[in-house]
Amino acid sequence: MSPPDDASIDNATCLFRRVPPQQVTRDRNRGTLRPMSGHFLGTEMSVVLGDQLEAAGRSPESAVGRHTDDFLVCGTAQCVRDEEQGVVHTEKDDEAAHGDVVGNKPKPRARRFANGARWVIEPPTDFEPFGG
Amino acid sequence: MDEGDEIDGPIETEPAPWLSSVAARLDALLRLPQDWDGYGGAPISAEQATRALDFLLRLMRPTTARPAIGPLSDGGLQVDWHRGQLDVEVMFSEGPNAGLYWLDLETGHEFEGPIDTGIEGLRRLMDRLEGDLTTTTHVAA
Repeated sequence: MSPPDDASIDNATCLFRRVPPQQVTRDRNRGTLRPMSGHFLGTEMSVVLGDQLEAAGRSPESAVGRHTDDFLVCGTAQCVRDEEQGVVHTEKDDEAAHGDVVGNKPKPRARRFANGARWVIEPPTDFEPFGG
Repeated sequence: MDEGDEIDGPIETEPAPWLSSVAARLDALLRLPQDWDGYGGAPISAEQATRALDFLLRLMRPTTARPAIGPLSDGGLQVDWHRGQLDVEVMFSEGPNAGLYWLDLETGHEFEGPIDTGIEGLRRLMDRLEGDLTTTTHVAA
């Protein structure tokens, strides 16, 4: 069964997701810092919808809300729909632009999300994650 | 071993250089509060931390690079190496995501399955996960 999907959310819409510092890993094979794949598990994955931010005149960076120590990545609605996910707007008290990426996320899919995520607020140059 | 038996080879008594920092990392993660990630994340399970440490003690050599160790929102832990053209990800969790994954970027060979099933195959690749000894506290004799 297909997950719920709001067709009014355009495929080009950016989906922003906070990344706590504890879930950043150094990928020496690709020369990057990136979120750990475990950050993208769960049937309902919280995101902030870019179209809602834009309509409210908010910046992408505001998607971190009160979690100002966190970093921020984005992908498009198209990217997650290509992975058999739905995107829905699920407004919350503390985030009117809140949405969910809905669908089964086996580990290979979570790894693809981790590798494909693009930093919006990236770790500073002196940020050194543990190990890796 | 009976009294009087001879011991083959040296007995290693020095702890591996990575052990203290890995233990400190696990200790720090065990102190994360409920909702540590702002997504409702559960506190990290002591049982999963014990499993992770046991796995590392079984697998790692003294000269192996420290893995990345991160929390999972279900209270589990993830252990990663991405170096030496190997991607290694191990999840310790009560849920369905527990398991070992490795991908050899040089050959394309990969494994995904239970930790105990995959650990021997990974052990054969450990030369590729050696650390930079200049960044450890290891002091050569």
